[in-house]
Amino acid sequence: MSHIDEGQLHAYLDDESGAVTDREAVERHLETCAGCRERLQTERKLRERAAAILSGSGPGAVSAPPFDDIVARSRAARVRSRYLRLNRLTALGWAAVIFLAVGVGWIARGTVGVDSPTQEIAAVPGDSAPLGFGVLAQGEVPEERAAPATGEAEPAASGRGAARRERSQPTVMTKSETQAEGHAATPEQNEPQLLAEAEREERPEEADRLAAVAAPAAPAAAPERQAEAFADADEARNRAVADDARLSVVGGVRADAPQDVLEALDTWRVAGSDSAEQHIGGPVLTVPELPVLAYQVGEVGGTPTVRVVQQLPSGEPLELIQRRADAEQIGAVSGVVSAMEQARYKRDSVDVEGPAEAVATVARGAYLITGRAAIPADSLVALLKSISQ
Amino acid sequence: MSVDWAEVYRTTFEDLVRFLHRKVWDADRAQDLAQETFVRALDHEPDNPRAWLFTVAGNLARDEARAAIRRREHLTLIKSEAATREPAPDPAEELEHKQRMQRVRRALDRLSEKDRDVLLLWDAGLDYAEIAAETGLAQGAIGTTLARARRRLVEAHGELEDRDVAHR
Repeated sequence: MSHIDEGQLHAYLDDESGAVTDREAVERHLETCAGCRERLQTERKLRERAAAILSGSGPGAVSAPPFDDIVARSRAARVRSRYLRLNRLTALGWAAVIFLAVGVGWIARGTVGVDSPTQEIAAVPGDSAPLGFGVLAQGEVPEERAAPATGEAEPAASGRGAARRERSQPTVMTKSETQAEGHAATPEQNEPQLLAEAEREERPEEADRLAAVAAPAAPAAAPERQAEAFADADEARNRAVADDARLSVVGGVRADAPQDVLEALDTWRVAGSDSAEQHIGGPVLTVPELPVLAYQVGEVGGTPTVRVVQQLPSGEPLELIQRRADAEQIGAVSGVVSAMEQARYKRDSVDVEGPAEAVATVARGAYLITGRAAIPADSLVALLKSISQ
Repeated sequence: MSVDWAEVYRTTFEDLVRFLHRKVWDADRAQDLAQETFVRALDHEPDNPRAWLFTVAGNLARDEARAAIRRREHLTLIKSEAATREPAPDPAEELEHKQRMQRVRRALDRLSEKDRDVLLLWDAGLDYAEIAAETGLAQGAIGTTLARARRRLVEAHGELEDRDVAHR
């Protein structure tokens, strides 16, 4: 065997065998070659020195959290990811539908013409009598349309009359009509379904329960009944969310509430968790599983307030500003709204530092908690739901 | 065959933290990133879980470096505020520890990226086959790369140590 190269010497020292080093051949050579033995000792010292240098710069004591915590975090991340993916797909679907609708409308415009129904009816008054339309204002609905169907033949089923009648009907369908048509729903209507689908992967029984109260009315039902069913389902869903998470979202005129809290940034003083609890006279609530970076105390409008800063997995901070609320403030809670409505409310109502930052306020017991983070508003609401002592 | 992530977690978490610490040079952050690595791992069934974990951890550390640049000022402020609440260690000991860390960090910075990665993966407990899978090097080249990396680390560290002594 020729002399051993340094790569093989290091593999030998690292106890790597098999394809990397023929250990026995190396040992046989070392027995007979003093030069390689000397180099082996040199490389051994080098290896030990490198290991010593690296070990002196370690992170110190490492405490691994329970594996169950990791599993719980992974599950939550999966639900969020699935929801966001479904949401993106829904948005793409809607974009495609709108694109197709505009395209079809554009093509139809070229073949049918652009005259308004009013102009056309005025031009052929003789046709209007059999139809019973008269001359209608644009957008007005003829009485016949609202009358129940009798089963008799349509009085004027000719091409022009039928086309005109079709064009004189409102082009914008009501919510219940949209449901009755079928099969399409707005993103807001889809949201509970998307959440339920995402949830179903992790907690099938819970998702089924939520889906049951959030399910839209059957497509074949009458529009009026569907509208009622929709309202009932909406209310039931809100009740379910409220019962489930004991979460109430401050809505309506409360936009000023988070704002004055946020403007108090400079007044915070660092505190421990115990003194923070003493400061507000009750438990300080946090999002489980997120590390707490700081507890701070201060006053907002004369009310003792605590600010907890936690760190999201992305490294971004999540601020939770908590203060005791009086009966009047709690009474200002206008009711439970869906995450999508919450997102819209925050987007439209609250000035934020950056485009991706969301602010939401929830009431928990006798406290109002304002959360702020650079994450989607619905994700923020989901985090606020998980708040505990 | 499904991966026993609980067992991998038990045997690998500490190695992963050590590996990440040499990337981000912040013990708490290294622990957070190691946890995040496992959070992401549970959705997957890689053939070689350990090597796969170090790949993900390396990517997270790179993202972390980018995010650190973008991170908002007030987070830094908050972190420093939080740090001030911790009991202060012995100042001399703390200074020496910081200097030691700085020296190792600067010595590692003098290595090529490939040499540094191989060295840190070996230090984190990966064998040659795993290091080869992680870095894309041939398994037979790992010994040579390690030999070079170790030599350069020791030389660079020695130079920096001599310089620090001369400055005192």
